[in-house]
Amino acid sequence: MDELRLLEQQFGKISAAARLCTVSVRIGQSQGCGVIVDGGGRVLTAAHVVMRPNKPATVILENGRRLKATTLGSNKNVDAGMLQIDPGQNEGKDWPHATLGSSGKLSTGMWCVATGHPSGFDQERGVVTRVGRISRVNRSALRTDCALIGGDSGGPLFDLSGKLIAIHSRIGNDVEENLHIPIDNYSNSWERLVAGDFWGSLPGFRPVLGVQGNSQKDEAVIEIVRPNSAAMKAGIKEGDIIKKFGDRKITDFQSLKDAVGETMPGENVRVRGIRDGAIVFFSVVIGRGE
Amino acid sequence: MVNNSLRAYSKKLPWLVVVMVLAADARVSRAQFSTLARRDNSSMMQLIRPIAEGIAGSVVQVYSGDRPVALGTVVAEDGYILTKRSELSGDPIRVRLSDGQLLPARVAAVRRSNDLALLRVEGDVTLSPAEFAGDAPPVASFVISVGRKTRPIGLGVVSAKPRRINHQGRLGVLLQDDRTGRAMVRGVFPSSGAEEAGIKEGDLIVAINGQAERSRLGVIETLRGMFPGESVRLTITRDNSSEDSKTMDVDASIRELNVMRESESDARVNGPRNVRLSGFDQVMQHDTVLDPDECGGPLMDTQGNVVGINIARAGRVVSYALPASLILPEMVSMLAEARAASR
Repeated sequence: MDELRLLEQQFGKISAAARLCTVSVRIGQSQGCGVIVDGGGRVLTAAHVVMRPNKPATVILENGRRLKATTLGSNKNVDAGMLQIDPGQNEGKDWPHATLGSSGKLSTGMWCVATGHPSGFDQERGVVTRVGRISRVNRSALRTDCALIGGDSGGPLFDLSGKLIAIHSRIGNDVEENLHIPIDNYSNSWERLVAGDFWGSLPGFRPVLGVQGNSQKDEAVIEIVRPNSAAMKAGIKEGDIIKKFGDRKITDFQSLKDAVGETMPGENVRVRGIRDGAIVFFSVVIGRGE
Repeated sequence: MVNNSLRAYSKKLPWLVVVMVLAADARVSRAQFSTLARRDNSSMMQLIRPIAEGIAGSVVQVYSGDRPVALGTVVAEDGYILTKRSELSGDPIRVRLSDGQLLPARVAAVRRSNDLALLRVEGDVTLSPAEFAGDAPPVASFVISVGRKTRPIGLGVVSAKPRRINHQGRLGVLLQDDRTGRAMVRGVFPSSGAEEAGIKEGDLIVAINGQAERSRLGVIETLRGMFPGESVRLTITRDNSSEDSKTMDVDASIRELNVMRESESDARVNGPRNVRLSGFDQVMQHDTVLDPDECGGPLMDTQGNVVGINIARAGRVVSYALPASLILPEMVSMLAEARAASR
C-alpha cells in the first residue's frame, strides 16, 4: 500500500512537470499535441500532426499563451514529426522542456504517464493526465493502456523517472489499444528531422484521392472517380482537369499522384481544376488506403 | 425535404469544424497481448481491495424497469441512497444490497442540476452509510471505484483539476420567427431527439410541457433549462397556413450536442456512454474505464476516503465524479427534503 502511495506521488510530480511542456499544436484545421524538448523551443510531435515541412503552426501552452511555430521534418514510416517554436517569443529565456529518455530498454509492465489535450485544447480543463502500463514494445511502436483519443496525437509519454519515452500516435477501438512512437525513432534521425526532411509512409495510412487517369496525357484529366472516395465527396467529376493541388502545380496525372502521395489521410487540401473551360475549386479531405 | 432542412441547419450554425488528429488503426484491434501488463491487473486489484472493503455494505445495485442501470451509494442508515438520476427511466425502481437482498425503492428527492436522485428503500432495513471526506485528490492520484460486492470495479487516476461542466443538452432544431414572432422550425439536426420525434421543417412549437410559448426566444429559453437525458412534451402546429393545419403533442428527448455531432469512428472509439454527460456544478475528471451502468457508486482515494460519486462515463478517456465537497451539501438538503415529506 505504501508502494501505491509512493507511485501516485511520483505520478503527481511527473504530471505537474509535464503540464508545462505539453503543448497544443494547430496547423490549419487540425489540432494535435506536442512536447517541448529543449530550451530553444524544439517540439516533438506526430508526423500526421506536422503533415509537411516549413509550414506555419500555432503552439498553445497550458496557460493559453499562443506561440508562432514552423513545422520541420517527419518520418512517416513511424509517424514521428518535429516542429520549432519561432525564436524571440520568450524574452531570451529558455522554454520549460521535457528531458529525453531512451526507448531501448523499455519492457512490458512498466508504468507510464501520458499527457495531452484529448478532443482539443480546453482552457478551463487544461492538460489531461492519464496513467497506465506498457503492454507491448517494439522498435516502431509502444502499446499502453493510457487511454488516448483524437487531439492527443503528438503528446508525450513519460516513464516513472519523468523522462520522455514516446509520443502518442494512434489507437485501436479497444480502450487498451493506444500506440506511441518510441523516442529513439526521433533521436536516431534527429538531424534529418531538424533539416525538414520528410520521408516514408505509415502502413495502413496511405493517402488516397480515389481517381484514375492516364499518365501519358499532357494534362491531369480525371477519367474515373471511385464511388465514396475523397474526390467524389469533394465534388470532383470525370472529365475535370486538375491544375493545382494544395501548393503544387499539376502538369499531368503523374504529378497529381505525386502530390497526393505527399499528403496525409484526413488532411484538407484545396484543389483547382477546369470543368467545361471554367475554373472550379474543390476542398478535398484526403482519404485513407491500406 | 430532409436534405433541405439539413442544409439550412449547417448554414445557420457554422460550428467550428476541427479535425482532431489521432487515427484509429483497425489492425491494432486484432492483436493479442498479455493481460498482466495493465494497470488494473489482478495483482493491483488485490492490492487495493482492502481500501474498497473499508466501505463494506455501502454500495448497492440500482434497477430501473428490471434492468441494472446504476450503482448507488448509501448515505443514511435509515435506507437513503444517492444515485444517478438520469438512468432512472422506468419503474419499478429496486435496489440490490451488498448482501444480495432485492428491495423496492422510490425516488425521495432529485437535484436535476447535478443529475442526483435520492432513493428511499422500502422496508425496515438498517444500512451502512459511506462517509464522504476531504478535498479532491490532486491530479495523478489513484482513484478506486467500488462495486456492490465491495470489490474494486475500476482503478484510474485523477486527470484534471475539478471544474464545472456546463450542460450541452439540445433538442436539435434550428428556429426562426414566423410572421407573428412564434418559433418555427427551420432545420432538424440528424440523430437528434427532434428528428426521432418526427419534427419537421415548418412546424410551429406552440407549447412545451403544457406551457404555452408565444415567441422563439421563449422557446429557446425554456429548452435551455432542459438537461440531456430529459424528455420534453412539445405541442406542434403543422401546416399552419394551409387548410389541414393540425396541432399535436410529441415527446422528444434532449441529447448531448457532442454526441449528436460526432462521427461514427469517434462513437466507436468512445464506446458506451451515459445519456447525460454534462451539466455538473463541479466534477473530478478521472481516467477509470467504467461501464455506463457503473455510475452512482463511490469513488475512493488510496487513504480510504470516499472522495466522490461517479456521475458519468463520458468518453474513452473521461469519467466524471461529483466531489465530496459538492455531494455533502446536496445530500444534506435532499435528506432534509425527503424526511420532511415523509413525516
